[in-house]
Amino acid sequence: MRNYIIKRILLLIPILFIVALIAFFITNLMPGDPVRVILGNMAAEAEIVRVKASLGLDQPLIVRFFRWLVNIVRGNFGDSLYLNAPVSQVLAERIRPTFLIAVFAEVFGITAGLLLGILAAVKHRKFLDQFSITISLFGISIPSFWLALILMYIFSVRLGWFPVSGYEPFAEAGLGTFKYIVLPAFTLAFMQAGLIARMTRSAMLDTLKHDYIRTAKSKGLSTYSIVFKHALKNSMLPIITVIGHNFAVLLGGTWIVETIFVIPGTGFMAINAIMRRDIPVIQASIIFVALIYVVLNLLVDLSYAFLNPKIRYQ
Amino acid sequence: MLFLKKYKKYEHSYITTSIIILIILISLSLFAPLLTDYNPVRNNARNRLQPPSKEHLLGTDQYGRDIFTRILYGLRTSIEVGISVVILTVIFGGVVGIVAGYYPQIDKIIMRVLDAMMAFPGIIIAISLAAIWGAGKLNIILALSFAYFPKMARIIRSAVISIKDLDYVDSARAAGANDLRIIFKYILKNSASPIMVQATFNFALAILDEAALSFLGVGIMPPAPSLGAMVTDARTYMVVAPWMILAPGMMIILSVLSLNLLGDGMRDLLDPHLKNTLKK
Repeated sequence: MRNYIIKRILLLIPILFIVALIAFFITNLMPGDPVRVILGNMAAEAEIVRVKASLGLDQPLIVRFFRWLVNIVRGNFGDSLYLNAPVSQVLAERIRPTFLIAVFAEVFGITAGLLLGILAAVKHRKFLDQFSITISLFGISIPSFWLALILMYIFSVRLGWFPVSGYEPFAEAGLGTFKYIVLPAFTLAFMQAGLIARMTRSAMLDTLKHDYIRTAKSKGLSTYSIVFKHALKNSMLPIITVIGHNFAVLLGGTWIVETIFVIPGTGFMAINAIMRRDIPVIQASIIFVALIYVVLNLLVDLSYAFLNPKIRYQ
Repeated sequence: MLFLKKYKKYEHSYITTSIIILIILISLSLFAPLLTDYNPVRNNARNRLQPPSKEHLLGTDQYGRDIFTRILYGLRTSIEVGISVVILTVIFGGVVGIVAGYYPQIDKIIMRVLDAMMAFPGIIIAISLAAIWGAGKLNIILALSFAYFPKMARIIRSAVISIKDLDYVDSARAAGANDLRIIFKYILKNSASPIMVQATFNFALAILDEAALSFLGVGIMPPAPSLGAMVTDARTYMVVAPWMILAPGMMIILSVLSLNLLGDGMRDLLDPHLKNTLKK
């Protein structure tokens, strides 16, 4: 087991290296010279050359990549070109709203998804199955930006239950923070619920046809204990995988939803940085999402080993 | 095709329903110029923000353009982007997947690169690339293809690996067939079903993501009609003209939903494992 964990962690190194490579080259292909952006159009040529040299931008791309890589490994993403602060500090300040939205959406999504998926599998080919398939299909087919605006129109503009947009941190507003979180979190949860419900349904259908389920039935166990103790436990692998894989999709969704609801999180920051070509912030935002994806998938793989002894002893 | 032969034996209403909806949607977008007298981009200041009426079935937008006309042309854009992305992902994914699956010497390196690319959610790669290359139809087609092809490459790779050591491939090799012939004649032909299923899902995803990019202003640029950009306009006029937001959203949902339904139906149909489950 220990060897397995060590092997999996070592495998992260080449992947993270390539992740960094992609993030660096995508952002360095951006049109527009960052030095000219900083100094403005009227800057003298000599001044530009001097600032370029002081930022190390006169070096070849590959030298810059390795310098940059050494820095980000130390947690130094450079300074934002607009916010006059180190990127790591900006990211740390912005992470809280995004984290709140993501956790709420995930909890919402997992609960609804598991429930819909289990119901569908147990009532296979009955009305409830059709109902749950339809809901989950809508979940993966509705554009999140459109759903966000519809929810905003109904619950904020018409009914006035929630603020139209904006955010107050927990320290100032206390529980009032949540009224800013509900609509964005629900928007993202709907899609997650759809994805999780689909996977739960097919994994449960797969499990329910096994012999041990029939044995459990003929032993006279209640449906409840068959479904939750036997079937669900044995269907967990693919369900956990889909949750792990899609958390990054959820984070990608925060880019859009935070922009719509004007919530000062990492997603809103990323979109603004892209519009302003604030390259260090873009790099940090992209790497942030990819890092979370990679770490979560490591955890998913390790949970395989935990849930399935066959993998552990390989 | 394998797919059509199986269809008769297995009555699956999803596929029929979704194909009918898709045919209707495609003809609506193809025959858009015949179906409406209005121009999708020309302004008409007198008709600004009209609610739905007999002349304008779905109302008009802030420039007085007919919304029904705009969603037909917007759908056209979505379908164009979707089909181009599907073709490009199959080509990119096919080349990379076949090389990785067929030549184990470089498989490990390719797989690590694909793993790393898949760490970025598609929409994030697409937004970043579209912002770099600039907005426009061609750029978002390339950006989305770049974002989706790693998954397609992995699917094709595993199909190639599962087929390439089967007896009939060995016998073709023994008969003197070269690599190219084996790849095209034996391997690709027999890995068509997972590719088709993934291509259908990619089509749906491309429509959704094109709309999202256009909504954010890095996709199709106005005044060209795009369903996503129509939602951006609708957002500004949400309080005074709520009808503007429903039509483009519904059109996106209808097309994405029917593609997902088709993908699901094809997967059930082509996956013998799952079929047994369903029959039981």
